[in-house]
Amino acid sequence: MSTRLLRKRPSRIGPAVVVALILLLLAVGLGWAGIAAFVSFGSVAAALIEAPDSAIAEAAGNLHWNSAVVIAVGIVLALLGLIAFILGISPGARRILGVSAAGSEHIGDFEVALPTSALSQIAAAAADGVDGVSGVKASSNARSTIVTFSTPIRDVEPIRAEVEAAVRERFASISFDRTPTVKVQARRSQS
Amino acid sequence: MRRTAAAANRTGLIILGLIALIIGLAVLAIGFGLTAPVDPALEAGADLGPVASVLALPYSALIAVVVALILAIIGLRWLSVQVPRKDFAKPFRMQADARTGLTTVNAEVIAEAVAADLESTDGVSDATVILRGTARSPELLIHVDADERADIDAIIAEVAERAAGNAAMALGAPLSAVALEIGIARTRSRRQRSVSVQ
Repeated sequence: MSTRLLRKRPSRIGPAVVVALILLLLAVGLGWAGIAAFVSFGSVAAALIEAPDSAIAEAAGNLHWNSAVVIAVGIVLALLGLIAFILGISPGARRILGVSAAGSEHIGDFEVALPTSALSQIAAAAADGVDGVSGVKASSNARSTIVTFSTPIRDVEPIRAEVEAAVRERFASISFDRTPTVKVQARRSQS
Repeated sequence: MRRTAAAANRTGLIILGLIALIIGLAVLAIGFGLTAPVDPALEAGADLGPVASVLALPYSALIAVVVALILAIIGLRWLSVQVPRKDFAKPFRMQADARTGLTTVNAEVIAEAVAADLESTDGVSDATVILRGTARSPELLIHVDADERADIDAIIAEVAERAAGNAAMALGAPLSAVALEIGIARTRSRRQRSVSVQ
């Protein structure tokens, strides 16, 4: 089977919801303006035959192309369009790490993955087990993990090395397709 | 694990993004006088009269309402596909001979049994299972929440050997594909999973 069951890249739900809501707002605005025009004529037939002398049309007709409002609208439209286009075309950050697994005779195609959030939690838990560590934060992408720990001890270097060894050892115990690199930063906590 | 409208989202974003980008750049080009050499009517100091006159045409109110309806339908339709779908398999027909009656099994029922089986694995606190495909070539999507110190490779092996084996035996067919996503359980606090000696 060629298609993967687990999605690797973000599916852009947030931007899509925002753009869909903008479309809905535009629809409401347009619909409101259209219905208001009908109402101002009193009857639908009159609105269809006669040209509406709408105030909006007149106000827009008095603007000039090089006026600040028009330029600002152009800039905003171009920027929003560029952002939406880039979000649509760029694959986005990988959100899972592949783990190699043997499978078994009951399984045709076995696919195992660890989300980057789980990787951060595993790294934080490993660092938390080291003596002298008072707090841990970890952040990961598909290739690397950065562990930041705080310690009340003045000489942080031995603990930093120990934390790094602990996290590396933990990662080595999991058969990743590509083992993520580990970077450890120490922060001295006030005590 | 759930299906999302990723392709539709990206296509929609690319199309609408390009439209907005082209309109915005066109407005800027006219505003900065770049189009004046091409068409003297489009010089920077001209007013928006030609564009605004579209609004004053007969039928423009009707056209506005129709366009509004179309935009509203597109917007609502796009919003409605954003909810991630599980897409369970249709009930499996498992009888050997349809003349003697049909035996149907709901995919949800099997998925729940597999999830319960998985939760008995050492180090796994929670499991969610989705069953897709057909009775002859079932596909299993599994999300397990493991303990943060659990042996991940052992859990994977256990899923591949025991849980997948049990599911394949229950269905009477080897699983054509299994996808396993491993999350880390957040529920237990540090106090509950450690022993302190005083």
